[in-house]
Amino acid sequence: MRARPLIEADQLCHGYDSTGNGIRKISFQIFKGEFLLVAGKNGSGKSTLFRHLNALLMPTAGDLLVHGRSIRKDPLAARKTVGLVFQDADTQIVGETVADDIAFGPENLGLSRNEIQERVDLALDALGLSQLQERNPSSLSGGEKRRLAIAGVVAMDPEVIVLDEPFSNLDHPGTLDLIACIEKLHQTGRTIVLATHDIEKVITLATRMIILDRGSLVADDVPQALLKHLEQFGIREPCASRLGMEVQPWAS
Amino acid sequence: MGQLNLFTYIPSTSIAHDLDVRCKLCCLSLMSLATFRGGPVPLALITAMVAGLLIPAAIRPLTLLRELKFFFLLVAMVFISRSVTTGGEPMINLLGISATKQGIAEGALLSWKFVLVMLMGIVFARTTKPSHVKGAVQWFLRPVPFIPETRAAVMISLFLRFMPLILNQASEVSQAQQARCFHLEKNPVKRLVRLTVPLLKKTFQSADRMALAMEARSYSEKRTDPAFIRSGHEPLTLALCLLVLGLSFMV
Repeated sequence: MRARPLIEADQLCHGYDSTGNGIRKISFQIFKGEFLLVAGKNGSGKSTLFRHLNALLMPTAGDLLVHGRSIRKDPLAARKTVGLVFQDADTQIVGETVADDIAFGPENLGLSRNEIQERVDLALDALGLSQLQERNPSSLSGGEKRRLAIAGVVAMDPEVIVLDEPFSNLDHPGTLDLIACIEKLHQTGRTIVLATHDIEKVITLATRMIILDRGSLVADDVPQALLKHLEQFGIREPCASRLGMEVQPWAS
Repeated sequence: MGQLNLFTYIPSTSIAHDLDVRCKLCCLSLMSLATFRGGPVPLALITAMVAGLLIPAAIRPLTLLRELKFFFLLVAMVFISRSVTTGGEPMINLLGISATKQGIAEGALLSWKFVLVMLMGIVFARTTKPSHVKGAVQWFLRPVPFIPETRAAVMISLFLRFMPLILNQASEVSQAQQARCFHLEKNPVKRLVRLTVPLLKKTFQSADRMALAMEARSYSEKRTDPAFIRSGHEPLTLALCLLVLGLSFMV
């Protein structure tokens, strides 16, 4: 028998006024230890869905349960369980140094200074930022900023880490570093939910993939089973798959 | 990328770095007061102290001159203005304008004071983490009624964090407009409007995203209080600053 899901979306809907965008009747479950890849073209509803996972948006119909509790009833519990990393790292970083920014989340949780320091040290180590801890975030590269944004979430010790388009605007070395960090987080027991329209970078790490199209969930399966159906939803099929070869991991 | 400047914190283990930030703020206030109150003797004493603190703050004199060129220009203007507007014994006469001996002395003293206050500010900024300043502000505001000290402290923190970002965005907007030959536009009002409207739009959008990101990280006003670390040198430093202040009233 399968364990109880960490997150359960039940006919989840969210409509924005007049624009017609949003999400419609989405139902799925996320289990502990999964690496869920959420694919879809721009405007397919990925970011809207993610903001529900962290209780930043409330459903206009349906419900989303985190550990069996509705996010409407207990948004703080949802935020403690699910850490959300936004696409734009610059506007997510609030500290004046790398270490201060990582401490921001644990300070919000009201932890003791010793515990905050322990968590900051662990997050710095996990994301390979120990050498940069006294640096001003403005002076970091794009890849380092992205890792800092993740470290800020890791320090809150969430069970699930949700990453919204983490590879956008990153150069190749920055992308490889980030993939390695995400893989390491998954291997240390975190559940990962990652949205991207360029799935080639992480498809070998994902244990499951869902595809969103115009606000609806149109596919939910293991990534290999969905490879040949990607392009009908505006998602690029990995090059190796097109050539009939096995997709290779980008980083290990 | 936001430009780092003289007012950026540089980690080190100097005495100035290790002092409790609350003590540092008090000392800064006392020394600023002493500077504006004092004559040449206290000023010489303060200069020696500031020079001693500038060495571990790792500031090269040339960098200082380059970064503060506009400030030094202002100081030079203050000096010239004082020299020619203060009455007394004429010393230099140029194109019918004479600088008096008393004016030059007063101008030099005033310029010296301005430079000292600026240097003290630089030493403070170079040796103090902005987060510690935020903590100290929160601590000093706590007894003041009707002021939400946590919110004020976070506002200071965000201001410090956002400044390089806004400057960066202003530079991006300006460059994007120059790329489309907007620098040929002669109307200054039009130029200002074309720069500020997209900049404000970008800034508000960034602020909106920042608020959302803070909420995602469970931001509330019930946060862990800031920590203050004492080095043990605080009573002596404070006593020294009080002594200099006392001296400035006497000499």
